[in-house]
Amino acid sequence: MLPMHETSIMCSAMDIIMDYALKHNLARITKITLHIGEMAGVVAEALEFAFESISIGTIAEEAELELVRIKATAECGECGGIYEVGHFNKLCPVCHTFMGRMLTGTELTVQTIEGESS
Amino acid sequence: MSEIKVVANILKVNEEVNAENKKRLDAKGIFTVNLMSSPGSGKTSILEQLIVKLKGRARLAVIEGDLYTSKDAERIGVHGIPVVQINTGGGCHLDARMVRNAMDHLELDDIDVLVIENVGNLVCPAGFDLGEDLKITVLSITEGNDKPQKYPRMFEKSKAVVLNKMDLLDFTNFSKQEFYKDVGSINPDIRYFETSCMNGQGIDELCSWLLEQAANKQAGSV
Repeated sequence: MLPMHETSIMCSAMDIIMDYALKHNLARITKITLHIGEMAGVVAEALEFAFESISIGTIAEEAELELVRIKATAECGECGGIYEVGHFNKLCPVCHTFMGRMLTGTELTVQTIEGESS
Repeated sequence: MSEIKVVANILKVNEEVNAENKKRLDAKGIFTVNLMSSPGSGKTSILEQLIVKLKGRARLAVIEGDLYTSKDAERIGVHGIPVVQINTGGGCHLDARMVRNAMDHLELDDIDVLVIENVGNLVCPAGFDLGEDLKITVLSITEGNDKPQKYPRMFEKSKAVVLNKMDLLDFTNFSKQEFYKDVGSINPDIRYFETSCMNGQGIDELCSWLLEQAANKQAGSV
């Protein structure tokens, strides 16, 4: 059985990918790049596995899937410093207050696709 | 062929429908809760207790998420409040589209508080907003105090955590101290409730807090 969470995410990604491929008259997709934030709650291996299954019989079947991990960063609400955070590590290293706004790390985007036109 | 820039949010569809649901619920002044937890932690039992306490104080409706059965909806239905069942057919979380469809089966004019009971799962539901005002995570004593460390996103995204089955505390090695320390490091602003559906502990507090949140929303300050 496929991991459901990543499967539904990969299905949504494929909708976007196919939409762009159609708009650009691609007959074959050769490469797909996704950005995955460290704190987006998504397992890269599960996405790859889902992609292998979902892409069968589509123009993306042979495509290389590149997953770029995006580090989680936050801006301190007190001193304005920018620093890396994790799920359990959200204190500003300078003034030790709890993080203000998260800047990066929750991304889940289709960045680019490459392919050959029909 | 050069690369094509896409830069599209994969969860965009869910986020759009989430906003649409939220707008529809806001227009009717309905305070909405997304209730999440592992299977068997007591979401439905807490809900049953709340239904009894809220009777005559707020008009409650429930959307029940479940993989295959309508067992929970039947339990809620006995109490005579509106309930809609969503079966995900094996899907591990509810998404905004499912909730939009379920909302079509409710008389929104007759509801003050809507509780969406998510599929029992401590992982995926955290990633999908449904149109709710806030999320509540239920954790039961028998699951162990290590769960916030293992499933941080649920606690990160919740406004309140309900520690249920408190009547079993003495029979386990659950450390409340560790639990509060871990949750605090993930989300320092989270509100805590300690409940038991066997002896009623904490249900009044939870009920009052929910009514307060609903009143705040209806006063336009949420």
